[in-house]
Amino acid sequence: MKQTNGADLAPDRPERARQGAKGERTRQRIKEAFADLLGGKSFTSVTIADICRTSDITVGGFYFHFPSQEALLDEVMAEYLGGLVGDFEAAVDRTSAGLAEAVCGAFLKAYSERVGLARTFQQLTRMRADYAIRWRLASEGAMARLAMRLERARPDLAPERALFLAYALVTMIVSKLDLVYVYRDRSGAQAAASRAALAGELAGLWTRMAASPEPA
Amino acid sequence: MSDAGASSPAPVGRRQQRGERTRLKIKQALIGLLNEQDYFDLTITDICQAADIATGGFYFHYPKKADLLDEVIREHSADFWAALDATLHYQDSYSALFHASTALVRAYRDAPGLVRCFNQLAMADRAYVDLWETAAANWVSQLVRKLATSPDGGGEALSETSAYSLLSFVDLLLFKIYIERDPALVASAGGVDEVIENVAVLWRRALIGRSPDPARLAYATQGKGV
Repeated sequence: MKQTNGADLAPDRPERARQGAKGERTRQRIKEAFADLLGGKSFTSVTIADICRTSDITVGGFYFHFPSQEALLDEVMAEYLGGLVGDFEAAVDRTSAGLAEAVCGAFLKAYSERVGLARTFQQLTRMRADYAIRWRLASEGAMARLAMRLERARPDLAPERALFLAYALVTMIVSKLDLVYVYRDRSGAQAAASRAALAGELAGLWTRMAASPEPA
Repeated sequence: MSDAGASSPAPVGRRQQRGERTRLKIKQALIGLLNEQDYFDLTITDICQAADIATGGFYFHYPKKADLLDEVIREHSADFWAALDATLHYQDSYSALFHASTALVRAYRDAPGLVRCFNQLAMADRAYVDLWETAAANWVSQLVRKLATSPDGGGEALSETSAYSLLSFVDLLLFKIYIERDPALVASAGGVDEVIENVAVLWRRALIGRSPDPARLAYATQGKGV
């Protein structure tokens, strides 16, 4: 799923073959500079001049590699999404115990290691319908398999409700991480103090929410 | 209000009433239009057409579009938090959360365009974030105190920080169901009453670590519970 998405979003560029390894390194440097800038600024306020200064290339050099800043944003976001969904899928498919820890860990890794990208992606999914759709298409396979695992653990759960629970659990993780890393409000600042504590809190909430109802 | 009535003759009162009616018509027109169109694409002409008033009539009431939206958001926000505050009068925690879930679902379902617009504005304007955060933090701290004393509370109560993030969870889940309308999620969620109950069940489990008494649930026994 993520492979196809990445390919769709980064159309084949014939000149890339000619550019060779050096060109690929420059492209990479531009993307990393952009990702770094997003750590401190909103994507709407980062300019091409900022990107060129940070990655030490000329404006002409930028346009040689990317047709526009929007194209750069698209490619960087597609890679971020691919990485996150890949980790989410791996966590869901892991057969060993500790499903809650694995899935919470996959999202925690994306947010804590790539804060600027995570924040930008969340803003884009809230502001633009096409980004909400990208996330939906990329994650629906993992979501369905998560539902199947939840259903196996809870025979009382109907299939459609297992899917609802899967969405609810992932939404719980994302909403918490948004508070900590994206909005950085008063509750978030405290929790950000320790990544381990945050992992524990998320897994704890997951376990409570996914638990079977107690008998009457 | 009574001062104005005393110092001026009756016609002014009628004019004021008519003015209020026009304002209400303009506000309702905006809420309706937001369900179909993005706020930034809306023109004052669109709003006046929908409200069936002259463009000059708009400017008599509001200096610009943003002032109209601001008034609508603040009024809806006040009504919404009043409804949530009322849920804290219930004795037991499940009733409180069930009614809070109901209030949230209604707010999202009745004015999805307005909720989307509020979220867009909150991305850029800190004032709208504060409007939400202040009221939310206040409500959550009352909720946590309520859980500590409610007859069906007990369990391992959560910190205020965790409780606050769970309100954000409910908010985001309903946003995905009623505003983004993710088809797979919408299909798995069922009807409004099922959403209200299942959200309340998950919310309570996360808050105090226990499911509600199954006898109080309508959908759990039909195999539609979560």
